[in-house]
Amino acid sequence: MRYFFSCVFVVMLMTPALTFLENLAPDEACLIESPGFDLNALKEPDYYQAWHTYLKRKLSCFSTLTRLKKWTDYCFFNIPDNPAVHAGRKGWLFKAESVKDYRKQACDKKNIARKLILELQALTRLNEINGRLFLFCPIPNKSTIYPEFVGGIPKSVNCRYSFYDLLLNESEDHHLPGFLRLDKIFKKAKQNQIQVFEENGPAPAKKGVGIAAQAILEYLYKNHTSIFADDDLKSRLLANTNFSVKNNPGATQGPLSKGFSTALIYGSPDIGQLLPALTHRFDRIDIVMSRTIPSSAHSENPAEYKVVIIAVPEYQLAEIHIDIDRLCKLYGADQHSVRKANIPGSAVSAGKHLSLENKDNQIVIKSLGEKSFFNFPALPGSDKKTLRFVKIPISSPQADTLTWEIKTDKLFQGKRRLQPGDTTIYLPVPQASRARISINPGMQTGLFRLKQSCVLELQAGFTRPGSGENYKPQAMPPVKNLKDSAFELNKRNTSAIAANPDAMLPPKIRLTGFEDGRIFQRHGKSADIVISGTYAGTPVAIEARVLHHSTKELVTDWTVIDNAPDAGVFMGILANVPQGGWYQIAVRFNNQPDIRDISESRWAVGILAACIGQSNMREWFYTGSGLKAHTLLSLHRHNKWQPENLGGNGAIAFGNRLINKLSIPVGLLDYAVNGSGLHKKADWGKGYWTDQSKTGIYNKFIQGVSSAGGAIEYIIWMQGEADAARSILTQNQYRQALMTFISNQIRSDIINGSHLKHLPILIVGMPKRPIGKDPSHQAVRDAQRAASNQIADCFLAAHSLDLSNLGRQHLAPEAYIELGLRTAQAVLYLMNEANYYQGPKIAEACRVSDDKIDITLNHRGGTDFAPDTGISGFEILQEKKSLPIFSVQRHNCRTIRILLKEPAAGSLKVRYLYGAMPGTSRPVRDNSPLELPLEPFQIVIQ
Amino acid sequence: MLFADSIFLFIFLPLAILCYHGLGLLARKRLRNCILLLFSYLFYSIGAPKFFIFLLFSTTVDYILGLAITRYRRYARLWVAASVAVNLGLLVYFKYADFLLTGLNPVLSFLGLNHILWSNTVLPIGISFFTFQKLSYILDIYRRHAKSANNFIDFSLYVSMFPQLIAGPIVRFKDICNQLNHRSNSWEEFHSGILRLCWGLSKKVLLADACGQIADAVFALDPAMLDTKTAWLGALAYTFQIYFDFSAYSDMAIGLARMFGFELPENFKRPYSAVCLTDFWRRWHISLGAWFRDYVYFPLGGNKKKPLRTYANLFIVFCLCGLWHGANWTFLAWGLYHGFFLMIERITDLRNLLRVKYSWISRMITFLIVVFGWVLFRADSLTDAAAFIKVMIIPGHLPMPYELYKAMHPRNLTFFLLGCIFVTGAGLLPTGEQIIRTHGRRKQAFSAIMIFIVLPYCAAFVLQGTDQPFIYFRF
Repeated sequence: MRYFFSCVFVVMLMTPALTFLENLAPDEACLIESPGFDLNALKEPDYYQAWHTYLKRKLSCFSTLTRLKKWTDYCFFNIPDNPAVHAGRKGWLFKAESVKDYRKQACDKKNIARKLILELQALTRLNEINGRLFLFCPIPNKSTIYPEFVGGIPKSVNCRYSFYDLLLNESEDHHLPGFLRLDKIFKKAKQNQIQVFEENGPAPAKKGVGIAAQAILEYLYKNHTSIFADDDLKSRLLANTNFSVKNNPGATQGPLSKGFSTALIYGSPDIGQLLPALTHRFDRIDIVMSRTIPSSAHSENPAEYKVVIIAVPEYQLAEIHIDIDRLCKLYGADQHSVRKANIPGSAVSAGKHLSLENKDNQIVIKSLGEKSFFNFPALPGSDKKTLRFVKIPISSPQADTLTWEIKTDKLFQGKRRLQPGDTTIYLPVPQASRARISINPGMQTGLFRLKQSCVLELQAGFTRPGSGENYKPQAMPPVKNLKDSAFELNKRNTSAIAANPDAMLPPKIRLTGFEDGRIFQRHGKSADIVISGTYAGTPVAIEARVLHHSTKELVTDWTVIDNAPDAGVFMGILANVPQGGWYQIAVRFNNQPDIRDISESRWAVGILAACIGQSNMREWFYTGSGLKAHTLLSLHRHNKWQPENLGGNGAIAFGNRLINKLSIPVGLLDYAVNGSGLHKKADWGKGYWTDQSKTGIYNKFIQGVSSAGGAIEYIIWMQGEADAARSILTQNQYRQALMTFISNQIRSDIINGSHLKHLPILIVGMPKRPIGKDPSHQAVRDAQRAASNQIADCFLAAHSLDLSNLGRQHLAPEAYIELGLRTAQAVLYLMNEANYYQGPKIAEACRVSDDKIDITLNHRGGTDFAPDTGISGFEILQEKKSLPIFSVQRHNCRTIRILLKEPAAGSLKVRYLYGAMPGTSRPVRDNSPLELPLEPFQIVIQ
Repeated sequence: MLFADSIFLFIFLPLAILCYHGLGLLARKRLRNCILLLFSYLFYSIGAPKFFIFLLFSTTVDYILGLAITRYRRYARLWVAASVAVNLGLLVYFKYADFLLTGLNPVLSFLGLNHILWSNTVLPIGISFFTFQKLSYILDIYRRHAKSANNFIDFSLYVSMFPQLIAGPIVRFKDICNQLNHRSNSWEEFHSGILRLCWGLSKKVLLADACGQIADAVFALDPAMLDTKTAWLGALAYTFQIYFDFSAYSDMAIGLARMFGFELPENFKRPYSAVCLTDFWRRWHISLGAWFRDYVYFPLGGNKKKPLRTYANLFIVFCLCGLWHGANWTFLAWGLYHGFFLMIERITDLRNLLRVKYSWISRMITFLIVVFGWVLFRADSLTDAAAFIKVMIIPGHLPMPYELYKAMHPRNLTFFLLGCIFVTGAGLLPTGEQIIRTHGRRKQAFSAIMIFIVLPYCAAFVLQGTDQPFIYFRF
């Protein structure tokens, strides 16, 4: 028997390898590429990893064995193989996410629930005033309806509330019209012995779907009349929308054909089963799978739909983000408001770490950062009939995050993103007699400007735009007359001592120092530096000066930066600090020069370049250790300056080259993310750049830029592999995404620090993959080229196709040096410090004879090229078939001659470093100092 | 590459078996060592290709020094010193430089000197194992306990043979030199090798990984979410995991070596049934314990000198033993912890007192000491370990965290309990090797279960990819 068992064992192990290429699912086959045999790649772990993945996917036993295991696990251990599924009692299956929610540990999310209720109230009212219907109907978790089958989930002792429970609690105190509780309806159905969920599926069963749909339609039919108070308007709308007022609300399955015209549903794939039961009552339903309302990725306008429904699953409620500012604009909150009351600037008072100054009908806010805040006077709260919004137009020097707090008998908190420049914030006021609002204008130190703020009143029901003139609301008390302790305390024109209790203390001044290694983006050849700090005493004005950090030489002499320091806070701008570094700063009282402070940290004024993209960009900072960073080169990462951590050949080569040439400091912002895509489809778990959600990689990058000052001189973009993977994107999709990303995101969120009209984007081309066929990569390359041609001040700064690869995706350490130098050359070119940054370009291709082709080049930086013979990278195609090439060699300094093995008549396609895996052993490079490569091309010759 | 890897099981291993036995037959055994060496180097290169040169270099150096000791006896001490310097130098460079400089730079700062700049090094896989193996070779030749290898291929195979290259057992040259040239390949041994491999694979995939998932869930918890029962569960789960994981590797190594005609020494002998810590170290990682005993403890004087010296020797040995596992204070503390209890055992003579009369008490005490020791070993820092042990000792009750609940699914729970039974009933149950060595129907049934049920189930785990690599692979 030992022979038998031994042979069986060996055969069992060998079977998968023997049946190597068989038993492949066709959809998988196209996705798996053989890494091929590459001698050079043998030393790279990535190469083995590529083979490992390939072989694993190709093993024929993979699916059979894993299916067997899944079956065993489910039958014997009651474990679903999918971690997204939870197996409860009696084989009932639940979504794991919903079961996590069922643990009822959401007490720390009370504020989020409160804020959501407030925003939903606002959204309801915005729909009402526009004559639209709004419905909020969370799809209950299966575990909420059938807790008895969930199994022994541990429950928290301290907190027994799910997020939905919190929401219900809050909705009791803050009436939320348009809230349809499907959980109640489902529980009632369950009591009547109706099974509303499938045992083995997370979604509602057919009967459950029917009940939900009926409830939704009933609600819509019951409530639509309450919106249209004006008979004239009602008939007009009815004529337009083509729905019957007298429909039997419950007759969802009856012969009634008339319904609502258009609906917009925000949901998740969970609502898929609900749709067939609803669609017949609408002319058109648009579904947006987003928890951000309105979605940042789609261009839907909820104000254009007759019905807006939020039907998010219960377990995703905490993730809903309602962009009230955008909605107020879309729904025309200003035009529909029945009353508008300005808040006098004098009534706005400073809180801690901040000072306010009325200037030219606006308030200049000197904010020291995240602890600073200012207060509005006590304002009248909303009530059931009137919803009030506070409209706050604010101007921020950089992209930042504003934090708001509204105190009634409860506390409401939230955050809003600020764009550089003007942003208008709309804060809905909760239902209460009075509300007090505090605002932290931004996380960064800076000068903000608050323009005329006002309170808008929106009445219940449809309101014609501009109808406020004839509206006679309950008298809203004028805000400036409200008694408010903060207002009283912070009146202008009081003496400095009265406003500043610290004035009684011994005089002292403390400078808020900059991070060590910080580089300020220059504007022209200097920068305006915001200097701030605190003081005690009675300074008439505050002065500042800049010294060289090491030599202590004077850079700028004592200059008054704040001639009206107030409330123990000073802030001002030291204008025109010349580019250079490292510097340190000193401040003093101008009337008591001995009262001074000097910061020890080093800072500088120079060029900031942000490096974003995926792993090949990130490797600029991590691959290679041969170079030593120039002392004026600094690194910004994770929202902090950390020059001591600067490493990697690409980053150092790039920075050093610029510093050596321009003699000014350079700061590099490292915000590339391994494996990140550009398009949503290319999100492989590491995020994608067009995602503007709070937790997305783009927002993290913007926060980084914001903490570095908000202005950048160059953006370096090296990305595309994730989007090229698995052929998921077309060239057009990538190009569109890149153009949107640059125009709508980067250039609107980041201040242009360069001398060019738009923030320059330097695209660094993707490297060649050492193995496999890669037409999808070519599509991305073409898209990048097309985008660089179409977008102003966007450049294809450097090619990396000719550089040596490391493993499958990354370049060799020395190649990153080349790439850094090439990119630096592009920057120098844009600054008029170099005459060229690109290698030779094809001028024309022509046939000399049937077997000879001449490629004529236009040189840019060089005058000749190398190598003379054995040039690689060329491919000649005839009807998609590659023709064998005998030789490719230099004919003269501008011409490459290709000799075919056999004569070929007819049209030919000549490609260089193009399409599938081109040969790059001896690429064409010019004789310029950087030895720049011939640009890839594809051309057809007759 | 690891044994619990699909490429190893389905491509590398069958190919190695076919080439070794097929070409070995054709070439009349002459090429067997060459083939095995080639496969061993391939095994090492996959995943860590750049360290292949390092392995080859250090093997060549020791081979030449081994020959030099035999041929130039007058300078033997010099050759030994050179070998020790090269081997320990490389080990310190790769494994301990970061750790040492982390401690040294603050001192340099204090003295006003510049920091030593250092970029973190990547640890070559298995360096601790093959370095100790080569050192034992050199020292054995020096002590005339073994003869130097005359054939470079034989010596390279001794150092790099893939079944034991990455995580031991640490084999002595004298134990294996005969097998290098005079080994027989029989169906009987091949078959028992298969069963031992499957036994090890099932231990790793079913028992160790199940316990590992529970242990990971507990050790990843926020300290505020830990209560006494959870902490004990985590400590026990890790105690079982590390034993099943490492002994599984040893089982697989022994099984694989047997398939190629080698008989490697046992590395574990039911360590959790030890009656004292001295006994524990005779049963746990036997090859490492023996190495430290023969090449460190005895040369320092062992227990032949005054008691104080013996205690100092114990401390030195266990300090080194702790550090051998990794450059971290937790490993050092773990080594010293064991050294301390061994010293206490010697001082009080408890190990002899409890051994016969109250063996179950002494077993339990030893087991508890070992469990606390593993907490030190597993924790990320000494502070974490102290906090964890505090929770284990001071009673407290909290609801079970959801993260732990997810890890405690019926499969993990079943195998965790099975692991408990194997450990607690160690004295009553037969060992894997005893089962494999049975005859007749029992063996046939065991073979059928292993090959037709356990192997495919474990292979499915392996194909899906395990997130629990062998623990000792990191050392």
